[in-house]
Amino acid sequence: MNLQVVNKEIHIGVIRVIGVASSSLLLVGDACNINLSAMADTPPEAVGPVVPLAAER
Amino acid sequence: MTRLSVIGFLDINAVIFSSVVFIGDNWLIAPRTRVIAVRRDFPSFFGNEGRFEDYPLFQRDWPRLPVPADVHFVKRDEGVIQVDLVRLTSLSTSAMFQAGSTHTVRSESRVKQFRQLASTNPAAFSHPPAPR
Repeated sequence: MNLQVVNKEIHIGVIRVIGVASSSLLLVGDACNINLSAMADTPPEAVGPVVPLAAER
Repeated sequence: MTRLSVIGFLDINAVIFSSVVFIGDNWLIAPRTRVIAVRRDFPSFFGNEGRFEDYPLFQRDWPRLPVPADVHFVKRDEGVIQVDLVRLTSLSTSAMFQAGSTHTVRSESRVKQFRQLASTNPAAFSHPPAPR
């Protein structure tokens, strides 16, 4: 497959963002590879009584 | 990657938890975050809680994306990227903002949530009720 790209001039007025979170990217520029990964876990069993988590080693 | 990025005014409020603000060109950014988040109705915390090894979320492998085969890529750069104003309230948990070009961005974050809420099982509480 052949892919040809011509990057012309871009002019943006205002970028207004409240939050960029969890492996997100706001890029004003070019990139070759972008690989953003996020894992999140909130299972139903995470709702429960107050017990301290195991202490760190 | 030879294009120029021009930003007139940049306003950023908060940058936390392995987040990156980069002005200029670079080759690689690879931030990583591991989070154990605990929300308790009775706010009592012990300071040394949480062991990443206990939760498989922090051990499991990332799924691999298939690499597109046989792509012949040609590009031509013909101008600048210009933004008059960037206003960013917050970056968190391996987030990035870059004004400029990069080769590779590889960002990873893992968040394990716990909710220990009073309403689920009031009998299980050994703590006194929170003062009003």
